[in-house]
Amino acid sequence: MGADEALPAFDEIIGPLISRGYALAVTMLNDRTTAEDAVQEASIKAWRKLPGLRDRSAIEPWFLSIVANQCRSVRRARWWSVLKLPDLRHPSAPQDQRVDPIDLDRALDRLTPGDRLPLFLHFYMDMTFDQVGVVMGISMTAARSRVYRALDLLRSELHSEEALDHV
Amino acid sequence: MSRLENELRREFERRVASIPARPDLRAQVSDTVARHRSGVRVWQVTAATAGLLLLGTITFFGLVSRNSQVTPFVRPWAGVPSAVPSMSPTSAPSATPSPCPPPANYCATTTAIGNFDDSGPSEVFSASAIHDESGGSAYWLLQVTAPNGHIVSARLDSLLAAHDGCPTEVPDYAMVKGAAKFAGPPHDLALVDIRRGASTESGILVGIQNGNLQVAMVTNGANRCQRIFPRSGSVTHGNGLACGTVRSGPVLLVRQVEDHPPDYAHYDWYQATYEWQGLQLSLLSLDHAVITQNDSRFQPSYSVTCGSLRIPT
Repeated sequence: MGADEALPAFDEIIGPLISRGYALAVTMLNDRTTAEDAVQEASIKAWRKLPGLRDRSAIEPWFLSIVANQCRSVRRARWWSVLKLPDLRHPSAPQDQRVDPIDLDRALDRLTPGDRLPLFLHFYMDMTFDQVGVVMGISMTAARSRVYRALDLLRSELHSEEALDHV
Repeated sequence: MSRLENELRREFERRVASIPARPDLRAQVSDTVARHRSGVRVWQVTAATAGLLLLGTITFFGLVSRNSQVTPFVRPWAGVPSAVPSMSPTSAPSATPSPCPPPANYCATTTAIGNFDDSGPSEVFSASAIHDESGGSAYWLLQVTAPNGHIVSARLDSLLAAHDGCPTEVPDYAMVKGAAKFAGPPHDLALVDIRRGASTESGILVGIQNGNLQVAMVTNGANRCQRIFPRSGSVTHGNGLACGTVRSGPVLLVRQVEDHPPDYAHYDWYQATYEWQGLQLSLLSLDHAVITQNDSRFQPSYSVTCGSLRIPT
């Protein structure tokens, strides 16, 4: 399939995955505009690579792996897209709309992005370990280990929170 | 599923719901993909054309070198009144043509003409991909060539290395987009693109200071260390640059518009005004307004405008 024929397929196949891609991106980046940019960049790359995708049943983890890679790239590349003028942000900016922090929220924040990602994919996106592995570029066995290791870390963080609350 | 895992799911749901995407994100992305398709075609044709020109020049030099020693090749720039960007195979004879460096896989030499060293006649600013003799690692070389053959040059990665507490920036390629007196007369600065996203392109401003090529950098404020300036726009924001004057001194205007949720009919417009001190940019003021697309400030926020250099969206 050539690039021209791929475009209708893009609308049909990738389009429904945009919102899932955004959910992943906003979880990794915690910023709306940066996440939307990452999804857009990932979509362009997905369109280019779509003709080479053989197993259409695996399209969601395939697309989300591109989104995840793009998010990692965004984190590395400062000044990639948006000027940061934090002092001028209007108070209704989305990042300010968060509810009061709770223990789990704080514990999740203390995990590295690399530890939050497998939890998000497995427990929010309902992905199998095999699919988590595709998105993260690791084996199914490694994906399972990463999920359980991140869960252990999270429990440990929650216990720390609890201990602090009782001080 | 354990209680923790259920709570984890709810927490992720809450996080995603607290930062909703713009309602038309899917349509915007599809539109960008469609527009990018035509852009890729232009890019491919341009690259192919530049490659053919480069091949022709290499063949020419190859034939000439059989009977004579190769001398530095200088483009006929004299008398050109303004900074004009062009794509041409003006690589130095020592440059060994070989596959382009990743990730851009783009390596055409690009040039702009301007008055970079204040020596009078115009010079040629160029960006070329250079490979070592073994054909191995590649780097980008920026150089200014004067009519008398004097050359000031620097590797792009050196210009973007960690400096004064600021981190290293990694370029994808170098493409000269043009030159203008961003920092006021008489010196021209070259705008060199080093990254390209789906819609947003990012570049640096390069000039000669104290006899060396240097990159303009912000030295104070929230954007201290910024050397790379985005332009054009993306699904959520537009970015632009302009030169201006404040109290008779030259300034750089860095602009941005971005969606103003929740109505998406209005935009937040930002403008940072930087004063030039050599090639250092010092923050003078930050401005903000909520505008519509009909506001005269909207469109300039997607373009580069300075003197004869005008790069629209």
